[in-house]
Amino acid sequence: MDNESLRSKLMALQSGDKTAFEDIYNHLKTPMYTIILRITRDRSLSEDILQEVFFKLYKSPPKPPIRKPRAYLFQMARNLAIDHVRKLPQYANWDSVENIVYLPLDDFTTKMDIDHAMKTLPLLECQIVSLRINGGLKFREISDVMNIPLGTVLWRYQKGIKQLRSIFKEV
Amino acid sequence: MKKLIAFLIALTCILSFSITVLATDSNSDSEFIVQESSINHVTYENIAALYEHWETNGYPDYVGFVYSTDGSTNNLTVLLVGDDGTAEDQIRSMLINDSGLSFGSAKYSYNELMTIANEISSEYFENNKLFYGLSVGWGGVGDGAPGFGDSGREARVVVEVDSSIFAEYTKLFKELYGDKVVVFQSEAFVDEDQRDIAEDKNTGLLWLLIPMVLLVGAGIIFAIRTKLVPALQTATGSVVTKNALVSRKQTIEAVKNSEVSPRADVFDSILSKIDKEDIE
Repeated sequence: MDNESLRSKLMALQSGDKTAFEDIYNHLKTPMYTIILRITRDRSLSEDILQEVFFKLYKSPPKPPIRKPRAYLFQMARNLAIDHVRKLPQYANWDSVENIVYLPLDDFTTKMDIDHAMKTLPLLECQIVSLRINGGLKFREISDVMNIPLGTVLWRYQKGIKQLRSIFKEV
Repeated sequence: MKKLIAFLIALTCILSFSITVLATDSNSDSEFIVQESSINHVTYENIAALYEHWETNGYPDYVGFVYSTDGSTNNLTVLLVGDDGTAEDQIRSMLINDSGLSFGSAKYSYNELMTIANEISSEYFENNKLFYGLSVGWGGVGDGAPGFGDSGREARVVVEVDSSIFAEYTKLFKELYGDKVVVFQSEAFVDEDQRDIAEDKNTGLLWLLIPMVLLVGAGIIFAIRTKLVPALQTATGSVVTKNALVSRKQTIEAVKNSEVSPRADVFDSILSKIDKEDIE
């Protein structure tokens, strides 16, 4: 579903069209859940956030003009996920949750998968990689969604991919 | 024309650590041989294979930079920092075939420059939208040598900023980092739509560089970087790999394929919540 189709679905949602709502959900549930999960690392919490995103979307669909609906929806999801992470007691004293690096839980020598590898990235890079690859956003859109300069997005994406390649090589 | 040819060669090195996001790797079947002897001395088929190893696993501190001597992937020049011949011997001993390998000297190590680039990225780049480019490599465009230092072939941290802050940051970085950092005036990235269209076509773009130059340089780098063993799928849908290099394309595909879906009843829960709210 491209931005134009998504825009028309959102327009239909304005008048309470539940079929359009379900279409949007089915289209976005997997990439959006993946991105939320990579921020929270908690499946149950991520499902709660996903529900919250779509509940809010249904109750208050964005009003036209919606220039970049896909970016808009991923921004909603990303912001809610970050807010939830900020509320977690273990990160209460962090100046920026973007610097969090989750430690892998399993033994790297026996198994390595993407989830583990993604955990080794700082959250900022993890989000950029996931928004780009899973969310399908343009780099400029990611820059807007995360409110960071485009140069940083490109730089961090490059670093993230390079680190992932390096990790895969080690296994 | 000579300048253009020199510039094409220079680009192969700039591309090695450009912040510009390049296209995915091509699917070459060629493989670099990596052998491990009984005394745990790892050897590489040639300098291109060793270069790939360094790119993936990090450079030793004695390496300043690596660039293509003649624009091909077979002939690479390694710049060494303060070497008395020891590092050169060590590198040669790691290669099964050292033809095409040349050496030169560099003032700063690649790792040192990378550390500075990271510092600039986190302290300046991320907070200032007038910073347009950051790379470790060559930056000379136009007349003169493509790179830096006495040889005109060394790398530096190349920062591109808007003209409005050029003087300020030229002065600041000179005070902080001396000649390890070179600041250029630049302009913002090309229009996002054009850039993304180009990305979709697996080209990528370099700021301030013409598309033709990019394609030539990218082709050379991709030829070096494209490797080796396909990623393997686990029962959980995640991807594991054998002990071999994974291409950029495979990495991106693996991240894409690792997507996770929410439980099937999540949507029902959303609808229930909506219905409940409507009743209330």
